[in-house]
Amino acid sequence: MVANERGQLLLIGGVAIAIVVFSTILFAHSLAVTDGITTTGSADTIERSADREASVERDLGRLAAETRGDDLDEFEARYENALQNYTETHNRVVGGSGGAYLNATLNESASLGNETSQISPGEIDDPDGGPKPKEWVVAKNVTRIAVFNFTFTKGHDSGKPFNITVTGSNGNWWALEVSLNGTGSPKNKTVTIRDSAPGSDIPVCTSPNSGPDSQDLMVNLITGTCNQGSGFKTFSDVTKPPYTINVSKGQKADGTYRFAAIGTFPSTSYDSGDTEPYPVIPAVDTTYDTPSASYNRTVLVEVDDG
Amino acid sequence: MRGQAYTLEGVLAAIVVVTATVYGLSAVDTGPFQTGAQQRTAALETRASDTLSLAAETGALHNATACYSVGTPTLNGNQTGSSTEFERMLNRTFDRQGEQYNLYFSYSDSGVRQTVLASQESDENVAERPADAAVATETVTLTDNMPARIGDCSGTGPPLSAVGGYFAPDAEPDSIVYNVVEVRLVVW
Repeated sequence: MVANERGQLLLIGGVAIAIVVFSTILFAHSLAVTDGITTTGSADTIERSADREASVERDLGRLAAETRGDDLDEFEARYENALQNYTETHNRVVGGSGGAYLNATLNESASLGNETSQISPGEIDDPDGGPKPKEWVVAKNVTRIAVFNFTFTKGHDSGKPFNITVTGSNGNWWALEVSLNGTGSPKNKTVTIRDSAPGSDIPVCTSPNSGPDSQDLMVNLITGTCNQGSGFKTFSDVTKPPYTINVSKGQKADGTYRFAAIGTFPSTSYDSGDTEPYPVIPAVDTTYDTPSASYNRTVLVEVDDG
Repeated sequence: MRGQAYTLEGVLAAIVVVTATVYGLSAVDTGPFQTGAQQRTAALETRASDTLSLAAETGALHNATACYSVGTPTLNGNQTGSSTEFERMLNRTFDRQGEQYNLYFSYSDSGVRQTVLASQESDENVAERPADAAVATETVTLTDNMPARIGDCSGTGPPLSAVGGYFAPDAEPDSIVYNVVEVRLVVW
């Protein structure tokens, strides 16, 4: 009798253990092995979400590059408009089949970058309007530049010319000068570039300083182009970021400028209000509405200016 | 005394079984039970998704989308007619393995989603199209200034907003956005 009871007990125990082991295996088979153990259904959902976000971020970058283009004015308003139209079309095409509706808006306060400019033609003036000589640090620790344009309307002879120097983290420097040369009247205003390499002075564009044939010299320092000359080697060809940018003898040339970058705009050069935000790297608030969840992302959009 | 012995025996047995189970599970890659067909579909889905993601990342998908209907009437990997980078990717990934696929483009036309078959439909893929095909999608955003691809897709033509005969219309005429195309790859 005792032996029978023990046998039944062992049998029941064995069956119970078998049930536990079998259930564990079944449960384990419904899980996917990931960093955080999860079901295969939710792993697929996460993967689809990541793909969708990567695709949208690519589109945002492409739109930003196309919107910025060569027209730098009102970039924020034009990009906001492009985002609105993109969102509408995207949801019309993808929303129904993909099950995720998107809303994307520009977040100006979270965007990276600042701008300084001189809009009215005149002597190239330092931002806080200090006394001559007009010499100032434009920016330090500059990691990304979106806009770096000068338009020179006139050069002023005598002594040292207008000079802007970009010094890279590798110690190399690159400089652009505006000087007057020629013997006739009027003389020519000429843009010359040079860098740390000895004997590297190269005149890149020129035009009469006054008179009916005089043309403004419009220089894009990022692309290395001048409207009255050919392309030239620019600072990114000889130096490496982060850059430090200085201007000296601003009063030796007339014109306008515009500079937008990510970096430090030092308080020794700028008073309050002398700079304003410019989305060199725009931040975009994206909201995804899916049947199972609604979530937000703020993404910094890499703009491929090339 | 005997009860204590049984209890002790049961606890020890449980420890042995649990230890063996944990050790066994950590030694194998667990996943849901799948039939051979399901495994093949899952593998195809991964390859299709990776192909589209890679093509989108490198710009090959943009070029192929900008070429369809103006530079080439169809997009596929059979290496006849046009030969875009995306078509070469399709050839290496699917055609050479003997797999069938269809490529669909969905876009907005007058506020309504429209879909076209961009790949060439053959007798085989019409007859053998199964219900459990793998599906992968990717989106391509077209802008007004984006150049169309012409001449077997190797050359750049006028901007999409200026080219005639392009399959997708300008969905947002007042904006830089031209259209959004959903590329859907169905493989079996």
